[in-house]
Amino acid sequence: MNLTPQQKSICQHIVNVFETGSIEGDYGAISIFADGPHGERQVTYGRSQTTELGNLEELVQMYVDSHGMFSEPLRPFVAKIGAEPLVDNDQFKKLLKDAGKNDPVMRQVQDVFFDKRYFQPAMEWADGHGFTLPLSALVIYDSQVHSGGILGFLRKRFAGKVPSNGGAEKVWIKQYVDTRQQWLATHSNTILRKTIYRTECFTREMDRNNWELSQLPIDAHGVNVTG
Amino acid sequence: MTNEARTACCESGRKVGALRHYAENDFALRRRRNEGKNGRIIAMVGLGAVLLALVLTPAFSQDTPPKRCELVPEAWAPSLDQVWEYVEEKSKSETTTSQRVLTQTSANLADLRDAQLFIAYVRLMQTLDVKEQGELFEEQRRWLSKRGESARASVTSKGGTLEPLEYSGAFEKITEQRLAELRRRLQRQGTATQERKEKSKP
Repeated sequence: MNLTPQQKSICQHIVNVFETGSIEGDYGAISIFADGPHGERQVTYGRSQTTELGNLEELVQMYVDSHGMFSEPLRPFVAKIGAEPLVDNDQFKKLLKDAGKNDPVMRQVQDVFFDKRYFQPAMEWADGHGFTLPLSALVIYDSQVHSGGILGFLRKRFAGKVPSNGGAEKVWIKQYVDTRQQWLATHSNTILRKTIYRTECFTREMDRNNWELSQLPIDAHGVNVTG
Repeated sequence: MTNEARTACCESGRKVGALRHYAENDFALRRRRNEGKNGRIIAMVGLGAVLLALVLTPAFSQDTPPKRCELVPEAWAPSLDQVWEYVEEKSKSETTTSQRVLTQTSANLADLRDAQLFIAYVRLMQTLDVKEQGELFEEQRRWLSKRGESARASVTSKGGTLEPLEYSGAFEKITEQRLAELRRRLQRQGTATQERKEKSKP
């Protein structure tokens, strides 16, 4: 998938808006959810949310190694992340929050980290299945961030083939977006239904034939994205 | 109930199995003290008393008010129902929320539901005798250990930002079902208590 820097930036900005309400994303965002492997409360942190019992240790290690403003006070916590609960450690949470809000180094580290976690796997999946269009990249990247990938059970709900299997790219993307929209809109969790603003955005762009993401601005949940 | 008695009562309800509980109740101890003359007889009679207590307990408990563990003052019954409804209504009317806000809202609702369950559990516990308290404690412990597993099993977006929202939504629904169950039992207990009071009136 050969995206221009602007096309990649548009994809990231749109998903940032979906996730945090702002184009830049919220690098200092901290939430506590009881969604650990055994229902433990855990810290969820950063622009695209990584978790204490997931990959937070890797992110903080990257930041410590990058010699940011808060790297030294965060250094002792690296070995503790995932090994002992830090969910109630106010000092740790404040350091993360301050680093995300005030240190450009943390922002760069998160950009690299989330690129590796979400954008690169999404583009690998797209390449592997023969997708080439920037709007396809946006749809696949969004699924990677939102659902951790292209969901198999959704693929089984429509007949289209991926381009690498001889299918038409635009047809497959449209069917996937429609199916995803249907799933989200009718989900048993009523709060989750609200996330159809994502698929609605993609449908609008398909309807105006904006497959190159060249018609700007793009309305992402009420925020104009220009790249 | 004195603090000492309350502590002993709660400790018994939590840790002691049914057999030991029966062996320690006043009824069995009284028989053992009165009937034992030497060590062997005491031992035999003690064992017999325990067995007798096991057999007679239903009849016994009808005649003697069962011990209860008073956990909180009876009139103290905080409610989170209005807060829960407010958060839910607010989330419905909000149209420009991000994924992060939706996830936080869902987690808040799940936390509130869990707190509602906690209140119902304590209030129900309050109405039970020591043996029943021990049983409810065990039942709740088992239920809690399964809740997280069940909520996790319902998540389809593993590794995505939708994952915590799916999880907390399922967690909340499972908790809601348990809350309804405990509230039903609480209501039944309340009715039974009321009936006992009515009957005991001269």
